[in-house]
Amino acid sequence: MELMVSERELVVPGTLLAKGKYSLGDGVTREGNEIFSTLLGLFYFDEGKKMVRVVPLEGKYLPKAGDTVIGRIDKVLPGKWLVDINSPYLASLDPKSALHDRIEDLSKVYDVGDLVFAKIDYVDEIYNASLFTKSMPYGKLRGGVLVEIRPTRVPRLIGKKGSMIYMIKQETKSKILVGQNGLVWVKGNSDMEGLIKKVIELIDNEAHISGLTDKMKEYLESEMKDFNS
Amino acid sequence: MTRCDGRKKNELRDVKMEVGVLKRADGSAYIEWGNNKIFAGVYGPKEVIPRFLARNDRAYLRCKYSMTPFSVEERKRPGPDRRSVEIGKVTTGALAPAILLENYPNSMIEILIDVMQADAGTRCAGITAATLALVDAGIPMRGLVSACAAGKVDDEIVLDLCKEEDNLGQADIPLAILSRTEEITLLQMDGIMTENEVEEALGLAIEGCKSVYQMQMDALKTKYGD
Repeated sequence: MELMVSERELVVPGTLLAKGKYSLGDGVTREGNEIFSTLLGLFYFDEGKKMVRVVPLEGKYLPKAGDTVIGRIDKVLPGKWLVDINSPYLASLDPKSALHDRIEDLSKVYDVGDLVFAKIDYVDEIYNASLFTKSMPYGKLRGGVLVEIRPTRVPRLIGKKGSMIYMIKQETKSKILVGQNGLVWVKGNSDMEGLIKKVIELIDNEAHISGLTDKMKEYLESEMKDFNS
Repeated sequence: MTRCDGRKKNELRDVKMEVGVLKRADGSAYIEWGNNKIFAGVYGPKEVIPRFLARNDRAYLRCKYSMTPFSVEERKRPGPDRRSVEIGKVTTGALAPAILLENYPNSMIEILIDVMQADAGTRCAGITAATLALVDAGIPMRGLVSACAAGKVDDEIVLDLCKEEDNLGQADIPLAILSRTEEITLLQMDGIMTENEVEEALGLAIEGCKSVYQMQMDALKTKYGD
């Protein structure tokens, strides 16, 4: 039992992480007695569970049950919608999980190109996801702008217990919805939307810096001053 | 013996690698290996096109190798030809064992390798760059693939043939290995060599691959390290 790399160290595919009986988290593989990384990311070790894992720095979004995502309607079929959720796989939305009443023409509810905020209800082994939009706050997103960031940086944008996203909402008095799939929907007055877009893109690119929330707060405050004067 | 560009027999040409150079690709890399200048881009995992290639238990991997018309001394006719189809196929074979394709069922990973300037050993440089691009795209892999060639020039076994050596030499062996386990994923040969010479060339090429691996690690750390 020994760890070969230190906490939060950069690892690449094939890096030897540990030897011995550890439990495996995401992004690692076991070969015999040795545990290797399969991803480019940062190494984390969970003392309690004796678990090694690698948090990826890059990569596409894979649907997971319980995630909230923002999707774009890709196709309207006779019995369901197909939704692009910024992942290699299309998700499907059944009218039963979207509407209370039966409606013949589904495109009257969500048409091709519409943005929806949805919860992932269920995902099968080959990543076919079914969505849910029946209750608040899920449903169609009207107006606003869409910002795309790397799905692996979403936790950074939300921050510890939502600190970062809460700070941005407070400062700018705008509506922001973050999808786990890396799409962020912003609605406020048009100047604010531009500014928030800039801030979100900054966070995406500087995710590794510590104390980012305070830095972003300073940045937001200084930019807002220009608006008001 | 002195080689035409003054290298020692076990010395690589100058190699420069850079990760994350193409904005629209999911992952990309650029490599300068001697006078070779090559871009590699990774797109995916994404929807499989054409649809019938989709597999329920793994991703479909496609590598496309192409040389730009201005990459060689005599203008090359653009478009795929016999040689680039072959290199695309062997590159797929060299990279597939390293990628955990079963993590992305029903999808496709596309790798495009574009040679801007060619100077012998483009398939090895292409595989090396494509590996970096795959890592940059966040695709799960067992390890990095490193490639390097060895050959026989003037009855001597030498590492990493340059253009003159390749054209006038007696044999050439491109080799790609999974650096962690030294599993061979690509091995080709043209020319004539005895059994002992092949053994010697393989040993030399594996050593070359290991130094290529170090450079790959450095390139990734430069991009992602703090």
